Amino acid sequence: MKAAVCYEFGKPLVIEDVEIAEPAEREVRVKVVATAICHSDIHDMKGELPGPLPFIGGHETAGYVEITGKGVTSVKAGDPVVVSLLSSCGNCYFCLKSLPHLCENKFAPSPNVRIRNKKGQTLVQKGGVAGFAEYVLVKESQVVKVPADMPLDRAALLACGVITGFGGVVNRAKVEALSSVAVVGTGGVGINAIQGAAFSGAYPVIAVDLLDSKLEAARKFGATHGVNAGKADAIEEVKKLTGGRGADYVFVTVGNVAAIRQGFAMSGTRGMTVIIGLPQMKEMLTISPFEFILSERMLTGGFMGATNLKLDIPRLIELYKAGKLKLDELISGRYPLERINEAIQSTETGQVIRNVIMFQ
Amino acid sequence: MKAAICYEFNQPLVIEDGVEVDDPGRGEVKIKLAATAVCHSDLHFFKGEIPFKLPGIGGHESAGYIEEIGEGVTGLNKGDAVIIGTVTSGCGHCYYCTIGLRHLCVSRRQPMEGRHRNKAGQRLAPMAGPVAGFAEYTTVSETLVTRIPSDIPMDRACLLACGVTSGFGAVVNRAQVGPFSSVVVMGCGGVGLNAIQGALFCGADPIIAVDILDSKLETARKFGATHVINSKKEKDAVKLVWDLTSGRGADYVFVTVGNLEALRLGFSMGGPRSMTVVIGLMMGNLASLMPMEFIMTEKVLTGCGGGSLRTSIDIPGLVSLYKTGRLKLDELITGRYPLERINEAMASLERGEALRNVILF
Repeated sequence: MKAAVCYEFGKPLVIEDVEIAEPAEREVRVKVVATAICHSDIHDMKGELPGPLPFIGGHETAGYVEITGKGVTSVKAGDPVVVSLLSSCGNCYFCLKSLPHLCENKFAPSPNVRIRNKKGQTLVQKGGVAGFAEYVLVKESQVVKVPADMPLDRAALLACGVITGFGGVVNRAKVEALSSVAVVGTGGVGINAIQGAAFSGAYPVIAVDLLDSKLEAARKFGATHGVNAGKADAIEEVKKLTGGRGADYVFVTVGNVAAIRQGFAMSGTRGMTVIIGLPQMKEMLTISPFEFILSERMLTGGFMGATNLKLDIPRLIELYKAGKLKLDELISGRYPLERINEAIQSTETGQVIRNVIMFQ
Repeated sequence: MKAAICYEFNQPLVIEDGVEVDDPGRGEVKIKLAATAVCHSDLHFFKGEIPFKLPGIGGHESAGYIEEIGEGVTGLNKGDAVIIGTVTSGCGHCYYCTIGLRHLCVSRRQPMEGRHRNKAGQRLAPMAGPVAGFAEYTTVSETLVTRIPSDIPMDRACLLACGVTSGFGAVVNRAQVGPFSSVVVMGCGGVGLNAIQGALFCGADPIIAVDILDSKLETARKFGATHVINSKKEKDAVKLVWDLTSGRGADYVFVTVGNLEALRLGFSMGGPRSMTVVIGLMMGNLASLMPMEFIMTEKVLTGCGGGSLRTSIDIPGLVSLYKTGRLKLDELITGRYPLERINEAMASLERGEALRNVILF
């Protein structure tokens, strides 16, 4: 099968023929229809997040089950599915508490080498998916069956970008109606945090970004106010919009500590700041504990929107079909695998929400 | 009247006679103090570790009797036994009062003008809270006063104004620990022990006490700790906590010592989705937190001021627990001192010998 392989950080991906293994027990092989490009793919390719080479990226994937391993019961060949990087054992403490995204065994390795290049070299599956390839081989827990009439390019977005933002608001923070929300960064994740907040009945929903064009787009997803942090004192603006108190919830979808500091300062007494965007590993966060005592503010993180795939993916699809979740508007461009480097470049410009690689 | 006045940081307090206090104004009450305990935050202020204008009067863990009520005060009468603490019962009108978080009332941060004057007529600001309890009389806002039954001994009642509630309230009100949750308490002083008895009351298990003194850890066991860790002797206290919590880390960590290293250590002891609550007053910045740690584990870092106390609900509740043998207060008092010997009482607290030393009037 064809795949886009990263052999060197910061260099274009190499499109080549590679070998994929047969599914082991409780594994599923999926013929990929669509894989979206996420910003963390770009971080991986630039070497900003640690990990071995060579690898195949892509973890926002949808396709059709091609073949199932022994013991697979939730899907069968031919089923349309979303494929996510979240895997779960179903039996550990966190799985039992319905927090499978925190599964203690989520990093358990596959018994087999799954992908090799023609020279026999092992190709690492980033996020355990490797969706920039014609087929993916994943654990059963990573796939969720979707209705046959759900367009798979839009379904792919549900695997990461949408749930990370929407779920950060709905699952992690559990934003209540009439809460005030600020979302720092209005890229693919931020814009979904905004539609999650709008869906939850939050008001105001304040989008914070450096580009007016993105703030305009954010309004279409439910932001009631836009603050350009490059032009105004964003902390003061958020306070003004929240009765002088600061926001009840702040979601920081930009991956740097300055944005986290700024976001935290936007939160009010008892406010919760949720770190979603991943800064580079070497960036350390500095906090003043005294601030926490006086204001009883909360600082936490949201991992993959605290998503329970089996519950959330079908519900989000229902919302999409009912016109209450925007997915069509998230796709900026569609590219064949051969043009993936172009799609990546265009994502880096910041004008794009999601570019999707389409397979035949 | 007599009061213990701080004229200079790091110097003994001066016991001065002839100090006067203002008559209660609108919404205020004048109190005849019966007992005021010495808290660690008094020490922080007297040492100048928390910037403050001098001269001043410390003491904020107080019990006494209403001497005089100001205009507009309702629900309190001359002679009532009360406790006087740092946590406000709220203005009743602001956003936070309206949503039921009266301890966060916007009025709590209004600048504090001293109500006492020394012989020279100089204003003496209350230190470490708005009470100025190291004096025979004080005048405070009625919102800082909670009526208590007259049959609870005042030396024990005063502990409910801060030490007990800061620890117990952080567990019960702020974190709302549930049965079978695992709890770590960093520091087993006056606040830490009460976090421990709060955790026990909530049905937490295990309850792991962490300190650097074995003697304090022994006391912690008496207050309900199921396990103790001497973090000075143990090489890897974090691993011990993880071992005691099925390899997951604790569900709740309460940091009752005002020390950045203790906070960093405590935060590492929390597992995925855990909550670490900063209680001990600490200045400065902690610069060693990784954003990745927050994202991958979804841990919560937060703080708690004054036990997030709902004074009119929690104080009577705690009095009732004490009377029915479910809250230890007697065991918290190490020594009783007259005001004249307050410097001795503070020195003993500073040496780590005392849970609470109480000044009796």
